Amino acid sequence: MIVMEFKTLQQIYDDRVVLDIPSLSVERGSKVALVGSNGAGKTTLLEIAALLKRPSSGEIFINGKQVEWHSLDNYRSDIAFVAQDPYFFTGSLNKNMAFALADQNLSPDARNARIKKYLSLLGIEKFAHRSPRTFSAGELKRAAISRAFCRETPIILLDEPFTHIDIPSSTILEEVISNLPDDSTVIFSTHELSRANRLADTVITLEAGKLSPWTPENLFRMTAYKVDDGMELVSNGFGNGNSTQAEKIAIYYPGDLREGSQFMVSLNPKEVLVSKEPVKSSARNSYRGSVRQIKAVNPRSVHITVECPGNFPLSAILTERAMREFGISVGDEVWVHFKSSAVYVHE
Amino acid sequence: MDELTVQSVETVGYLSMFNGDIVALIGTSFNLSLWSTSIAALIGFPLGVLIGLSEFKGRRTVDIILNTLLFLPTVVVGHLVYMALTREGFLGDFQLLFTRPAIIIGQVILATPIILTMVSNTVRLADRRIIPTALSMGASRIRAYLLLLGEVRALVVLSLLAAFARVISEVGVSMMLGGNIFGKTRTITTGIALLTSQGEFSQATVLGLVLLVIVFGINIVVYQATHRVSA
Repeated sequence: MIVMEFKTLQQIYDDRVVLDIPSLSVERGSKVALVGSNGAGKTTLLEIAALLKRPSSGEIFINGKQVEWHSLDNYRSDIAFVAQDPYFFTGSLNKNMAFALADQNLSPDARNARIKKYLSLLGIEKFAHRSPRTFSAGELKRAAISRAFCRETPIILLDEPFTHIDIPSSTILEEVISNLPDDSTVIFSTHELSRANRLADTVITLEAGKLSPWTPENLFRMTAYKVDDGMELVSNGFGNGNSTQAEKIAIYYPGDLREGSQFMVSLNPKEVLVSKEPVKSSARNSYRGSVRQIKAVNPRSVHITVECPGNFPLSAILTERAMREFGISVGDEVWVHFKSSAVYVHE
Repeated sequence: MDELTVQSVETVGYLSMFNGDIVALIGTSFNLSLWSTSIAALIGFPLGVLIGLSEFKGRRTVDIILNTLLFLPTVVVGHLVYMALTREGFLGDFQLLFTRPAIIIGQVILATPIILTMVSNTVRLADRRIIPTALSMGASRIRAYLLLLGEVRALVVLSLLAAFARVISEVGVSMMLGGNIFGKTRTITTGIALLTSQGEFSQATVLGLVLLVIVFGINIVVYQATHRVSA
């Protein structure tokens, strides 16, 4: 069931389109990561989703009901939002959390129990009576998340929850997000692709305010070298941060690039073909590898990760039917192919 | 003994007596000033929040008009409200001239721009994250605004005190609209004016000292409030 849906969404500042999303829907219980560079529109999208910012145009549906901007209180009660730089009201953390529960008509005992539960979950119960204005960055993030989570809303929106925090804090946050109830929908933004892949069921890439067809599964940092009829892009690391294990893999690219320079290179998984035998085709790039993972994208499509030589992971999206017909399963030796025109270089 | 020494001795004598008449004037002044400040707050708070948080064309013009209203001469306000309240005026049917409500109307006109301007500037400079944070925690918009005022309460209190100080020390509005009727509309300031015109300098000085003590007290509260904010 779709819990949140955006249609023809646009945000315009001073004649500049900063967000342009024709259609986007989020399933109930899913964990969605928004990735993209600074200024890609992640925060704007989250603020619109939190109903804190009215878009210049477009429609938003929550649980199938179109949001009416003149009466937002009913919709907001379903949403918790943690800003990148959260604000805390004057007073103790306890007082801040009590305020977050003020609209839920809980008895004092139930309210205190709820506050205690989430402070303990985030490991900050000892800070309950301190003013958050005295907290460190990591403590602040944990406090903001506990304040939002204690509302126990079905939709949780987190803007860069992992920035400016130390490793123990981020580990705690990851655990808390991973252990949320199955029907909780979480949308979070992050710059870290590895974390997005680890935590989210769906990763959405935003680029200059638009949904990018390029998913981060096939996002690599590569160095360009000239060959006879174009360029050869040679891997020197992976987009998922696993660069130390990388061995060289070369991708042919027909365009012209500055020799020796590094570029982010992406490849749409829908453009990657998988076969069990070598195939003669016009595809210039072919590699042999083994199937490491198969994950359902929806009832009709699957996401296959093929590990090519040198632990180079290439992702492909196939129909479920094609996977069955070709008899592809985890551990199989397969060939992956893609045309050089499917290679996108982020210059 | 010279004239000044005689008056000083008399002043000390009056101060030591501090009779019921003086208490009545103080009571009237406080009563009127509290009413007018409260009504001005009811108008100034919501409008101040609205203007402080809104971005609109002509905002600079609004700011200039509001700043000008801060310096409204009390006699001009008294004169305009007087014309409205006379039998021929558009509020003449209410027969309010030379009553306490007439003074309150005039003082509200003096106090509202002070509260409005100070609240709108305070809100404008307040942390921009306050309202979104409150809304994201399920607060209604009105509750979010109240919370915003709570976060900047020291400056909000300051605006109330400034408005109170303005109306308790004004004389033009009280004199022209109240008529200086003893027991009804005579305030500390109109009392001073009357006593001075009658040559009762010692009693006028006593009232002046009382007013100074009140304003001094307000200033101490204001100082402490602002000191807390800056700390």
